[in-house]
Amino acid sequence: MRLSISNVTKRYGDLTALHPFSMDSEGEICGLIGNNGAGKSTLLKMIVGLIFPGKGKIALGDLDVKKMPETVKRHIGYLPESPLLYPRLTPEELLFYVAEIKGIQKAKDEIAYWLEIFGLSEKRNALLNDLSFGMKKKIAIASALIGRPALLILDEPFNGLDVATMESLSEIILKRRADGATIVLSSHLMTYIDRLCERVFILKEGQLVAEGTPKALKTRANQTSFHETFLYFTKVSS
Amino acid sequence: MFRTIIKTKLRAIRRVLSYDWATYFILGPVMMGVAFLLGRKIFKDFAFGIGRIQPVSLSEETVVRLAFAFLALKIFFNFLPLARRLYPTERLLSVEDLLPIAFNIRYKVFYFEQLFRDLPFFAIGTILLIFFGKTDLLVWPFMIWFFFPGVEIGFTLTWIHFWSPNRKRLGGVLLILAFLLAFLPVVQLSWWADFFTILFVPLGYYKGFKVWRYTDMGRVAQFFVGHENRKNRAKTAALLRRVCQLVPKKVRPLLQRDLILTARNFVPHLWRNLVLVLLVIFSALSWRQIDAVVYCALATFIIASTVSPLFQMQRPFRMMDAALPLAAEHVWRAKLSYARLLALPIPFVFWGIEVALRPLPWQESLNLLFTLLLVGIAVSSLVGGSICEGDQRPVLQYIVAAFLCILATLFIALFNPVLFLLLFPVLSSLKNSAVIRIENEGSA
Repeated sequence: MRLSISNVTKRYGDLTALHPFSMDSEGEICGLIGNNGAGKSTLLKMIVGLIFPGKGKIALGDLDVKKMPETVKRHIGYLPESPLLYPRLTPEELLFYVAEIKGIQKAKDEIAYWLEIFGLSEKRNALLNDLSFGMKKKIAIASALIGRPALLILDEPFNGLDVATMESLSEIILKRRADGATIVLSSHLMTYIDRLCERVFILKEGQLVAEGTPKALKTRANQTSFHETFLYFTKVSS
Repeated sequence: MFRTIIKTKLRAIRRVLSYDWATYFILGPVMMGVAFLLGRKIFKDFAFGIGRIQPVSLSEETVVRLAFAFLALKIFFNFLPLARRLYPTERLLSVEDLLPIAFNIRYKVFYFEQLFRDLPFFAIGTILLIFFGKTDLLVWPFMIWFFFPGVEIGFTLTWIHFWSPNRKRLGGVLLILAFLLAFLPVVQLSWWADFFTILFVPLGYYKGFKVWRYTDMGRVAQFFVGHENRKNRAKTAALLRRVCQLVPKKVRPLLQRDLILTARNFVPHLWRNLVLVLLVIFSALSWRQIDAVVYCALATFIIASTVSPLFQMQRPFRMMDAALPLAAEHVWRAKLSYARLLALPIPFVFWGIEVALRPLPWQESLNLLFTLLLVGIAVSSLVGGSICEGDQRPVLQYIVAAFLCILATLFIALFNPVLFLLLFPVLSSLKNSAVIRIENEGSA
């Protein structure tokens, strides 16, 4: 499904959180990077329909996010930056809850699959309260992946994960991309952005300062590492 | 150091008040005042006049016993929330946890905080005394309010320090308290002596023993998680899932989640409300001059109002719901079903009491059951349906719901059961208002 964002803006009183921003994407992995407060999470929340844009339009296929939020959300898997999960539910119960609301048939097998992938099968009946931060994060990722949505929005997916899980999550993201899903992710880990993303958008104080493939951006900045490339664009624009 | 902490906390409170000043200084007092005046009007002129409630004259001893009962219940039911706030097991570390602040200073700060938190409880006590014309006792809620935080905090800290918290033991203490309250020679007690004793004993006790220690944290953590094994957990969830088969498919996952959370003590208010319902049942057995319909409405209101703290406590987690394909109407319907389901047995309980104590011809008995069921459904629906009223503050929602419930009870029980039909347009209006509020909350 094509994700189309056209001239979207967001203001909070006098503060412009996002200046007019546009992008079109289908079946690719897009990276959204920027310093803290650059507007990444605001944009991601607008795509999911958690907040509405001041101006502009966001659509998934033919579906307008603002006009048909419920229908759009059926096709979206969203991982928030700081997921809050009910401490008194078990991982299995939480995933069943998400699956039932998304209307997924025969969710049992898929839930077992994701718990297995993230190494949490043995913890399926433990309370989320008793799990570590990383384990909770894995459950939040699993709840975004459940139902294999056409659009995956991942806000800082690698935060708090161990190295092995970061690697397996990268593989999952690439596999979802191979299955035709559109993926938009934000991260401060430039290695993963460089490795995974086909297109990168660099934001600074709510404005788009650069856009392109990681390779093209590195060439423009005349840098070999993506880390330096990011610093180059965020400094140059100031 | 104490002054610095209090100053910082007061600054934070001032900011909260300045953001929500309209709610705290206009909406809240206006609603409280209207509730009081209208409530008195309905209670004295209307219900008395029609004869459903005969004038109840409370003796001083009864008032004191009731006051003791409520204070004891408050200590008991504040155990879990206080333990949560005292030890950082289920909350993030606060800045006070990380700074080198002596425990006696933290104790004093906590005392002041608790004093503010206890204010609504004692304010309601004062209002009730005015309501029942016991104005000569008005000074007592004010005086008890001053020492009460020491008793609450002292009880919680001591229990955790000396005995590992255990639900069965706490239940035992509640029973002992109930026994003492029933047989304590309260009329012979000297209030002034008690006041000073209870004020200084907790302070002196804390000075001497200093029982707030972080080494007790493990016991608290164990208490919050260790009461249910994984097998039982799965069994309870499966049972609740079966119960939820009664509701429409779209609402089912939400209701399942809410019931599982309730069973796992996410809303400890359920236990408090259950004890209050038991008190109402006890009153129904003791004071027969009040009609069973009134008791049924009151008990239904109490148990159904568990939905309000549940909704409020879910607020931080609603981001997850907002990202799911979920209509606001279903969120509202789930809360409506939750309130109805919790209150479902209440009409049958009061019908049972009535039939047991006052043998009725079977037609009259069935008629009573029918009326009680209508009142039960109306009251629980109005409590659940008004969940989004009151700006997410349970107290304000209780007032709105209480008005609607009083009217519904009067209409159904006193005028004509057909008036139950009025419930539908009211619920429809509450639904529309809730949908707008829930959608606005998601897309602010």
